[in-house]
Formats: sequence, structure tokens, C-alpha cells
Amino acid sequence: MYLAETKMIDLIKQQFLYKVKANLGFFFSLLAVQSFALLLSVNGIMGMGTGGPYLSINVNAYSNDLIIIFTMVWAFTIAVTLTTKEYRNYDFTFVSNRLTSNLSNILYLGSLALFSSVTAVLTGILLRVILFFSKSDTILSEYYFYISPYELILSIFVITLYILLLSSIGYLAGTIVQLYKPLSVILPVITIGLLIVEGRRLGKISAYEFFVQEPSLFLFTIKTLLVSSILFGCVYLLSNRMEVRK
Amino acid sequence: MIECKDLTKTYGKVKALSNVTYEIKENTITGLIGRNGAGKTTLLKTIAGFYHPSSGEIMVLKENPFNSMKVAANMIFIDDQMKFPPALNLSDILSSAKGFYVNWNEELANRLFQYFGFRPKQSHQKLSKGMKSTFNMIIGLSARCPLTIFDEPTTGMDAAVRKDFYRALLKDYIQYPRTIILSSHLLNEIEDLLENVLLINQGKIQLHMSVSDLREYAIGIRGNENLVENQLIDKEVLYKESIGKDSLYAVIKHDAGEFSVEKLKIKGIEVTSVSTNDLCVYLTSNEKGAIDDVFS
Amino acid sequence: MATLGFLPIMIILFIVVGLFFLQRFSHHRGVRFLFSGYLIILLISLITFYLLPDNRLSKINPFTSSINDDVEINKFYEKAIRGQIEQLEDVKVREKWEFEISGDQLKVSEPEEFYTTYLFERKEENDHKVEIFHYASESLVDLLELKDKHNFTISLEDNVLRMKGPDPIQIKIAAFKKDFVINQFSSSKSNDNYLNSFGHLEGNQVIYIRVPKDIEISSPHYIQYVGEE
Repeated sequence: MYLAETKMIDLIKQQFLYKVKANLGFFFSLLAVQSFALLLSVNGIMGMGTGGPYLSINVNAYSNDLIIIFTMVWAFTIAVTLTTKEYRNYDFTFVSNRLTSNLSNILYLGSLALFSSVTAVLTGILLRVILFFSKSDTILSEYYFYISPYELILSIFVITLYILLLSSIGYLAGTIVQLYKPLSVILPVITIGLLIVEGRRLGKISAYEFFVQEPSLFLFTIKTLLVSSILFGCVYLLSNRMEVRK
Repeated sequence: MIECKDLTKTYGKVKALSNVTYEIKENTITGLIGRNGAGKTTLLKTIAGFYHPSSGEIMVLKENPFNSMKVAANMIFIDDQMKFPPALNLSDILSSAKGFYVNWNEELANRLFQYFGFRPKQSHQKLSKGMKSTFNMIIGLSARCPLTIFDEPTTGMDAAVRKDFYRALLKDYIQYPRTIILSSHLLNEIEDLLENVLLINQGKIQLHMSVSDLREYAIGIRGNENLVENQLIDKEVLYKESIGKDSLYAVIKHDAGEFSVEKLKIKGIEVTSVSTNDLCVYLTSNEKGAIDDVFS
Repeated sequence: MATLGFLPIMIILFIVVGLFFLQRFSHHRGVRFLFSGYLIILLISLITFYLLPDNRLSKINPFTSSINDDVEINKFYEKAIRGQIEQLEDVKVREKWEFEISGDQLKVSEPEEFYTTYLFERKEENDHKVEIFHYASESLVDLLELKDKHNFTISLEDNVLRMKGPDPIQIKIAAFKKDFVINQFSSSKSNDNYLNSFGHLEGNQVIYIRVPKDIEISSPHYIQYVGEE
């Protein structure tokens, strides 16, 4: 009898490929979410009129903020979905242990983060192109239209990090809820409650300050990667004792 | 291959397995027999490393199976609860499985796939219960894992497919020996297939022996109530049932040499062998009275 | 913005429902084509974007343009009333008129929709000349080279000064905000309140009317003289 000596890295690769194939539906939902956001954004998110009797200025604001936010929420949802019993069991149908299952999930979430970030930013470009051709009577401010390749890549990079962070939060929250079902109600309530209390008492939210107000790209990268790694690590510790295929 | 020592698994206050100790040797086919809720699935899933034992020790391939890469890579667990992503059709599932199992026999998989009349584009979710079991069985056989576990593999299969499955299992086992554990609540259909039987009852191992030993384990005696009762003194009675007015049928543990079949015959007591299936039912019945007592 | 709170919940619902249906159909070929089509469109738009002709893109940047900001709007009128308007940078005479006047009376007639401030200044002598200057700070009108279409009409006949403002011009601007995620790394907080920053692009203007020393002015409105606080 020949005993298989599977290397962990090969198994993770195999599981990753399996997940890509098995979860093509995620990509379609991404498409749906981003198209929906594009549709909502195409008429502008805000308008402002100003000026006097002789000269009136109407500024219409466009942005792909909505597309980015939708994509972030999507990624969070996907991360939670991956922790459900059904999706965990898909892993353990074939060769898997808790470590490889988590690592391949993290790899998968990371790839989704990059992919969804690229498509979100490109959807923003598509919105600009639509704007260019559809609003022929409108002046386009170059400063508020053009995006340099550097800004494009920076945007993709930063959104990827944000999505990775949100994915790790979703992945941890999902795992905790799977372990202790009643927390599915308590956890969101506590989170939102804490945010409100902190916001009221201190007039600021420390998580917001920690990430969103970090002006250094380098520090931001370190912070997001570190925090996501810690959260993913917590998932591993939690799921290490978890029984599967129940 | 598998060594179990004092293995106990509890869910809350319920003991699903209590102090289970046994050993399963390499390249054997073992039948895990027990009634519903006896702890078969719990035992198998503990072997597979899906569940964590509450106490005691389990070693598979000389490793603790929980989180063991070695066990995961060399084990396949087939049951009717197997879940596949809905996005994958049957042929996708087979090609995915091929990537996971180094010993995967594609030819066997394809042949069985065609023989049982599956179509590549079918969705696993839409298969009937029996078809699902059949498909899962194809995966289990083709994976050719050193440790192959089938938990109630024939759920929903009709008699013809069950027969085909057992034949296929045996043929492939001969061609490619491996350790197979097959759980069922019925022994008669798989008796010819098995080398060993592990009988489990209420979380405890009732007996663990080869099938040939099991066939000799007990005998049935039938005759006049008083005569039979006389014979039962000092014997381990496994089952007792009144037949007709004053006739009694009893199953007793067979201790070789102690009594002569000839002597009994002279006394007018009929001696019969007990089918292994019935024996298992007797061994695992709760009380010595069975269903009749409910109505008396 | 209050509705934004419900947005994530809406999105999650939308995604969950979407996932449920899409999982069922995702092995359909059509859906795969749809998805590839989406990716191709994104790629094409990326290429198109960098090939767009830039003649439609205006160089207007409310943050780097020299157009006065809010503080200087007040300064503009302050200086104008003191007669020191020419001290301001970016303020130029856009139009100029000169009329001969006989007699000692000047009647001002303005249509109801005349909104520009006008100031009178008496000259040192009686030269029978009315000089009118239209001062304007730099505005969108300059940037977009619309000066020719944005003229005042001023005439003086029979001692009646008639003033009419330019025909209204409407300017539409589309501004595409930078992605909010990169804003935290740029030193210019250009995304904050960026819409209002377009507001002062309207610019400021004032009309100076220099009249002979002893002329009597009558107007339906209060007569504001330069240097008179």
C-alpha cells in the first residue's frame, strides 16, 4: 500500500483552485454588486448650484465611493459565508485539515480582495468614460476627472488592504458565530453599541483614527496587514478544536 | 492501522462512545455494525479526524487523526451527507477529486460513472438519494485511499445497485488492497464481504471478531419449554422466545465441547445455527424480551 | 446621509439573495460569458480612459487657481468702497465706457434684475464726461474665455444712464471625486468640501461711475459714493 505524502503547500494550492472553481458564483455576485453600484453612481452622488443672476454654476459630483463601499460590504459578506457550516464542509469532503482549510480560505480571500479591488477601481474608470461621452454639455474639471496611473495603483493597493482587513473581521466574526450561535445577535449589537458609546464619549472612534486617519502609506500597510494576520490567527486558534462534517 | 484506547466521546451529558478499545489491522475489511444511534458515525468521524475525542486515545497511521495531514491525505470518508459546491457538476467533482487523491484511478471512476448511468453535466444536488449514494461510492472507490471509510454507504440504493456496489468493492479491494471500514445496521448483505466485524452497542464495543468466528459464536436450540430451560442453566443466554404453546427457542453462546449436539437431539431438542445478522440483533437488543414485551 | 446607515444592510441583503440565485446558475455558460464580457468592458474602458482627448478637460482647479477665496470676497467689497480696488491682484477692468453729458442732472435707470453693485465717484472738475469702469475679479468667465458673451450694456441718452446686466450664462461642471481611500495619503485635503470650492469661481464685480463734480444724481436706490463708509 502506498501512503501519500502530501506537502501542505500542494494541498493548499489544490484547495485554493477547488475554491476558485467551486465558488464562481462569488464572482457573479461581485459583478452584480458593482454594476448595481455603477448604476446608482452614474447620475452623480451630489449636486450643487451656486452663482448669481448672470452666471450660475452647477457642479455635479461623481465618485466611485459607492462602488468601493459596495465592494467592501460584498467582501465582508463573502468572508462570513466561507465560515458557514456548509462551506466548511465543502473543504472536508476532500483532503483537508483545519490548518489547510483556513490557509486556503485566507489565500482565497486575499485573491478576492485583490480581484475585487481591481474591478472596483476599473468600474470607477468605466464610470468616468461613461461620463465623458454622455455629458457633452458639461465641463469636466481635469483635476477632478483624470487619475494618474500612480493614483490608480495606489487606489487598488489601499482598497485591497481595506478589503483584506474587512475580510479578516468577517472571517473571525463568522467563525465565532459558528462556534456560539447566540452570538450572531449579540456580536453586532455589542460592536455597534461600543462604536456609538466611544463616538459619543470621546467624539472619535479609535479604529477609524487608527486606520482611516493614518497618513503614512507605509504605516497603514503595516497596520492593516498586522491586524488582519492577528484576526486570521485567532480564527485558526478557534477553529483548531472545531469539529467538522457534523 | 487504527488503534483505539479507552476512547470516550460525550455530547453534553450523553455518552456517544464510552471506553472504546480496539485495533484494526492494515488491509482488512471491517464491518462496523450497530443499531441506529449506537455510535457508529461518531466512532468513524473520530477515526477520520473530524471529531475530537473527549478522552482516551486514538491513533490512525500512528498519528492522532485530528488535524493530521498524513491521515487527511490517506483517508476518505464517504457518507450520504457529503456536500459538494452547487456550482460543480458531476464531472467537475470527479476532476476535483482527482487533484486531491494521489492514488485516484480515473479509469475506474469513468467506468463506474458510465455503468451507473450518470451524465457529466448533472448536478449533485438534483440526484435522488440512491443516486447520490452511488456517486459518493464511486468517489470512495476511485480515490483508492489506504483508509477508506464508508458510513452507511447504501442509503437509498435499490437492491441491484447494492449488490453491484458490494461486488465492485470486493473486486477493487482484491486488486488494490487497503483498509476499509464499512458501517451498516444490517450484517447479512455484507457478511460475505467482511473479514472482521466490530459490533457496537450503546457506545460500547459488544464484540470484535472475524466473521468466521462470529458464525460459530452461538447456537439456537428449540424444543419443549422445560427441556430447553434445563439446558439454559449455566449458559449465557442471548435470546429467548416462546413459540406456540409450550415450545421455546433460545440462543446461547456456543462454548465448544461442552455439549453434544447428538445428546440434545435425542432429547428432542432441535439445534440450529444462528445467522450472524440475527445474532447481532440479539446482542444489541436492550432487554432480553424485545418487541413482544411491549404488547404483553 | 441618514439613509446611508441602511445601505450596508441593503447591500448585504442584495448580496445574499444574489448569491443564492447565482450559485444555482453559475455553471451556466451564459453567466460565464456575461462575466468575461464585464472584464473585457473594464479593460477597454481602462485603455479608452488613457486615450481620451484632453480638449474637453478644463484646467480649472479650484485649489490651485488664483481666484479669490471667501476671505477675499469681503476684501473685494471693502476695497471697492474705499476706492482701492486696483490694489487687488487679479482684479482687472473688464469693460470701459465714456459718455459726454450736458446739463447738470444724471438720472440712473436700472432694470429690476440688476444686481451688480455700482459706486459713484465725483471728479475734481466739471468735464462733462461720465466714465464708467467695470472691474471684475478673475472668474470662470475668464477661465472659460466667455468674456465676449458676458458683457454689460450701458448707455447714456438724454441724461439717463441705463444699465443692463449680461445675459445669464449657465455653466455645468462635472467633478469626479478622487477615491476616498487615497485621500488619507495626500496632503491636500481636496476632497473635503470640494463641491463648495467651486462656488467662488463665480468671481466678484463692481461698477465704478465717475461723474463730473457738480452733477446732480438721482436714482431709485441709495446712492453709494466711493470712500463713503
